[in-house]
Amino acid sequence: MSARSHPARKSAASRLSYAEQPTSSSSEDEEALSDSGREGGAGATKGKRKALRKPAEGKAQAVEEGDVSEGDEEARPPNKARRGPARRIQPKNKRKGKLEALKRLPVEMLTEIFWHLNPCDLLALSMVSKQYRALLTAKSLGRLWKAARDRLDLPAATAGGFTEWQYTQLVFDKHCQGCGVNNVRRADFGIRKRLCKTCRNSKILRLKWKRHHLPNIHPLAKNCVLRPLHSPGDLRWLSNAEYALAEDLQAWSDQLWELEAESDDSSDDIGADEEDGAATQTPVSGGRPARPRRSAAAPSYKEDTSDDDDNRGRREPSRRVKAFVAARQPFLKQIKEEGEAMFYGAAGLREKLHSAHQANPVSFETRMRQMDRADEIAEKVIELDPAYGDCVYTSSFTSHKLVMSDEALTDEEWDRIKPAILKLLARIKKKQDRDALNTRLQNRQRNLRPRYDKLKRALPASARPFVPLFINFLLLPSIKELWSELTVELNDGTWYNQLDAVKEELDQFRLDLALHARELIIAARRDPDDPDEHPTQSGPENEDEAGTPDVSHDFFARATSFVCCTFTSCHKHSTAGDDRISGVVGPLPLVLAHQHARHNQADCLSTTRLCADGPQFRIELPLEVVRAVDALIDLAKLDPATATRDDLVRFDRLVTMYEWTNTLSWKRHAAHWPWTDQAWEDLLYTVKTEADRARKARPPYSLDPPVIECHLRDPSDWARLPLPTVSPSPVQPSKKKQARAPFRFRHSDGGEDSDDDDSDSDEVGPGSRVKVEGSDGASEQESEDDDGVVFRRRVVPDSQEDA
Amino acid sequence: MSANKVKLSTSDQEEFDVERDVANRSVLIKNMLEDLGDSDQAIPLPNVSANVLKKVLEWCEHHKKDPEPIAEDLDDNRRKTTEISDWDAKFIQVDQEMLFEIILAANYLDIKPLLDVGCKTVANMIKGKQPEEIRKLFNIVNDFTPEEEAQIKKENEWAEDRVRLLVPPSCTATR
Repeated sequence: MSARSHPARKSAASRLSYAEQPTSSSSEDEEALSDSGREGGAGATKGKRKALRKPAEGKAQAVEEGDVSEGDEEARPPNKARRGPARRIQPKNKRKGKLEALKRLPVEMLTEIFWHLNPCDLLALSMVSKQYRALLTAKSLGRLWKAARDRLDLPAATAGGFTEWQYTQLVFDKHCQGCGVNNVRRADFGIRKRLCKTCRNSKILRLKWKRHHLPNIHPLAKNCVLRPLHSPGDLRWLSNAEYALAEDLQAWSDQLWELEAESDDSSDDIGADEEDGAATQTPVSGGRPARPRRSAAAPSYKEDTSDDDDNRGRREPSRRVKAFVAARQPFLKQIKEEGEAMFYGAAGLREKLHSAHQANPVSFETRMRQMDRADEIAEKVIELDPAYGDCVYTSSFTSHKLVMSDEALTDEEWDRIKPAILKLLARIKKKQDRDALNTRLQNRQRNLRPRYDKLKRALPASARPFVPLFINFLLLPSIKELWSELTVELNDGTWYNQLDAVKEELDQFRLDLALHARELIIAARRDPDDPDEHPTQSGPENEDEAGTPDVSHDFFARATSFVCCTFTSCHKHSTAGDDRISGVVGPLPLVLAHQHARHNQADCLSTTRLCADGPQFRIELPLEVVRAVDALIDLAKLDPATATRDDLVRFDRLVTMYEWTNTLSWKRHAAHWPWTDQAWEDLLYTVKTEADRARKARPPYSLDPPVIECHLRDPSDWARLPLPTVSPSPVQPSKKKQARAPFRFRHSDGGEDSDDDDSDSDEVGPGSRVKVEGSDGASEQESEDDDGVVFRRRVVPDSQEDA
Repeated sequence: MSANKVKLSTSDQEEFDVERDVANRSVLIKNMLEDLGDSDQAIPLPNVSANVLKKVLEWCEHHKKDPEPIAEDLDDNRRKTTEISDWDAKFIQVDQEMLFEIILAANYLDIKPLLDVGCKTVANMIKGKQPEEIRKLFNIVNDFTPEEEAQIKKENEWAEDRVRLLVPPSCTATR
C-alpha cells in the first residue's frame, strides 16, 4: 500500500477505473491479473448493480477526470519536497485530507455513501465543487434527496416546480436569500423564502391600502400573490396575516394589467365565447362603446399617465382577469397547505434535534466527580501561585473541558494538563485585570458627572445645548486626563487647574459642532449632478464664504437648515406626558436640546468606547429628510430662503393629517393625535427612521424623494397660503420673548374692525378681519377670512407679562 | 480439502483457507461456489490483496452467524439508520487507504452489510460539515468562482416564475 504514495503513480492510478487499479505494488503481471479479474467480477456481480453503473458512467468519468487534475496538482509539492530538505515532507502530510483516498472511489460507491447522508450534508456536498454539484443535482439522484428528506419526516412539497434541492436549501441553509447574511433563524414557508428581518421589513408589505395610494397595483393582484406564514416582524406565527412580497405583488399586477389590456383588445372574442353561458352579457356589451375610446387614449398599460392610472384603479376587472384569478386559487391553496406542512415538519425536526441533545444528561454522580476534580485542581493551582485564587472560581475555568472532566486527577494526569491549565489561568487573569481596570475608569468617570452638570448650569440657557453630551464631554482631551490617568486624583484643585482648558475646549467644540452641522446641511442640499452649483438658499452664506462661514442663529433657524438626531429609537427615551420626538428633526439648537434631554443619561463610557479618540457629533441629515422638508415648505407655499420652523408650526395648525404617499411603510400618515403636538414632526421622524432603515439594509437602498400630501381642516384655507410670517410665533414657549416681540396688535377699545389697514395686520391674510376684545387686559384676536372661517388666537398684552 | 473449507487466492497470490460459512457472507463467492460445485481449485479474487482480504475475513468470521439479508428490497431500510455496532465501529477504525480498500472489496465481493459499515463510517465523517470543511477533508479544490457561487444560490432559490407564466389556458385563449 505504501508504494501508492508515489505521487506520479497516484495521479495515474486515479485515472483508472476502480477495477483497473492495482491494489498493491505495480508489477506487470499483477496488472494483467487485475484486468482479467475485472471481467470475472463484472460477470459475477449481476443484475441491478451492473445496471446501476451504466447511467452513472458518464458522471464517473467526470468526477474522476476532476480528480486527475487535483491529483496532478498534489503531485508537484512532494517532488519538490524530495529535492529539498527532509522536513518539508511534513507540511505535505498535514495538508493531505483525512479522507483523501476516498475521493478515488467510483461514482456508485460515492452514491452509496451519499445514501446515508442527511439533506443538509447533501446540500453542503453539492457546494463543494463543480463535479460534486453535477453529480448530486443529476436527475438520476433525485431519489436520494427524497429518501434523505423522508428519513427526517419532512413532508413533500412539489407545487410550483419546487425541487428537492430548493426544498433542502430552504430548510437547511441559514443564509438570507435577500442579502446573504448568515444565521437567519426562520424560513417563511408561505412564500418559500428565508429572509432576514431587515429584508422582511423592506420586502414584505401589508396588503391593505387605499386604492389611490398604489394606483399602479391591480386590485386583484393581492388575490394572486403568495402569503407569508408570519408577519414581517415574525410576531404573529401562522396568523392569517395579509402580507405579501412587494416584488410578487408588482409582477402579478403587471400580468393582470396585461391580461386586462388583452381582454380590452379581444373583448369581442370573449363576449362571443361566453355568450351562450351568460345572460349578463348585455351590460358588458352595452358598456363597450366606452372601452375602445379608453384604450385608444391609453394604448398600453405601461404608459403611466395619471389619467390612465385613475381609470385603471376604478375600472371593474374584466371577466377574463377574474377567471384567471379564480383559476389560480387552487394553486395558492396547495402552496399554503404545503407551506404549513413544511412549517410543522421543520418544527418537528427542531424538536427532535433538541430532544436528541437532551438525551444524555450528565448524571448526578458524574457531576459530583467532576466537581471534586475541579476542586482538586483549584487547590493545586493556589498552591502553585496564590494570585490565581480569584481565577479558579470563574465559570470560564470551572466549565473548561480540562477541568470539568470525568477522569480522576492522578499525578500523571496533573502533569499532563498542568501547562494547559496554567495557560488558561493566565488568560482568565488577564481578562479579570482588564475588567477591573475598566470598572475603575468608569467609576472615575461617574465622579465627574456632578461637575459636568454644575458647569452646564452655570452657562447661559442659549449656550447649554452646545455643551457636549456627557459621553462626549469625557472625551475632551483635558477631561480625559482627569479620568484616564489613574495617578491623578479628582478634587477641587485638579478640577480648577483644568477648568480654563475645559472652557476653551468647550468653545472649540461648539464652533466645530456648528461648522460640522453647516457642512452637513450644505452637502445635503448641494445638487449632486452639479458640484459647482451653490445651494439655492445660500444667498447669505455665499457672502460669508470668503471670510468666516455663517453659523449664525439665523442660518440654523431656517427650515432648510434642519438636522436630525443620530441616536436611534428616540421615541423610546420618553417620559410620560412629554412630546416624545420633538427635536429629533429640527433646527440645530433644538436637536441638541433634545439630545440633552433624551440621550444624556449615560454617566460613563461603554468599554468599547473607552479608547475612542475624541468627541463625536451625533447629528446627521439624510437626503430623504431634506426632500421631505422641502415638500413641506412647498405645501405651505413658503419661501425656502426664509421659512422657519415657526412657519411650519403655524401651517401645521391648519392641517388635520399629512400623508407620505410614496412609501410602503404603515406609518404613512401623521395626524394630530392626543400625544402628538406637531404632526409634521411626526412625519419627518417617520421619514428619518425609514431612511435609516433603508441605509442599514443589506444591500443599502435609498428611498424615493418623499411625496407628501396634506389635508387641511378647511380646504378653503389653501387660498390663504402662505400664512404671513410672524416672528417669533406665539407658540414659542418663552413668555419673555413674546413680550419683546416686535409685532403689536392694534388695540381698539371700541372693538373696531381693522379692515381699514391691511398692511399692518399682516398677522392674518388679506381680506381678513381682526377683532380684538377683552377688558381684562388679555386680548383675543379673531380673524375671519372671506369664507367665514374663524381663526382665534389669544394674545397676552405686554403689561401683564412684565408684571 | 474438506467440504467445509474454501480456498481463496488473492491478487498477490496468497491463498486463504476459510470456512464455507464465512466465505458465504460474500454473495460473489457464494454464487461462484454454487456454479462450480465442490472443487479443490482456489477461487481467484484478483481485485483483493491479502491484507485486505484478511481484514474482510475477520469481519465475515465475526458475522458468520448473522441472518441472511433478505433481498434488495431492504435497501431503504438499511439506509435508514447510520448506527454502527460497537464491534463494527472498532473493526473499521483503520487508516483511510484501508477503509478505501475495504469498501471496494466489499463491493466487489458483494458483502452488503460490510459495504454499509464502510459507507456509514464515511458518511458519519461527512455529516454536519460545511462545504469548506468537506473540501479540506477530501482535499478538493474549490473550482467555483464567487460569481458562480452567487449564481448557484440564485438558481436554488425558488421563484414562482415558471408558474407565473402558466396562465390557465382558458384565460390565454384569444382568437
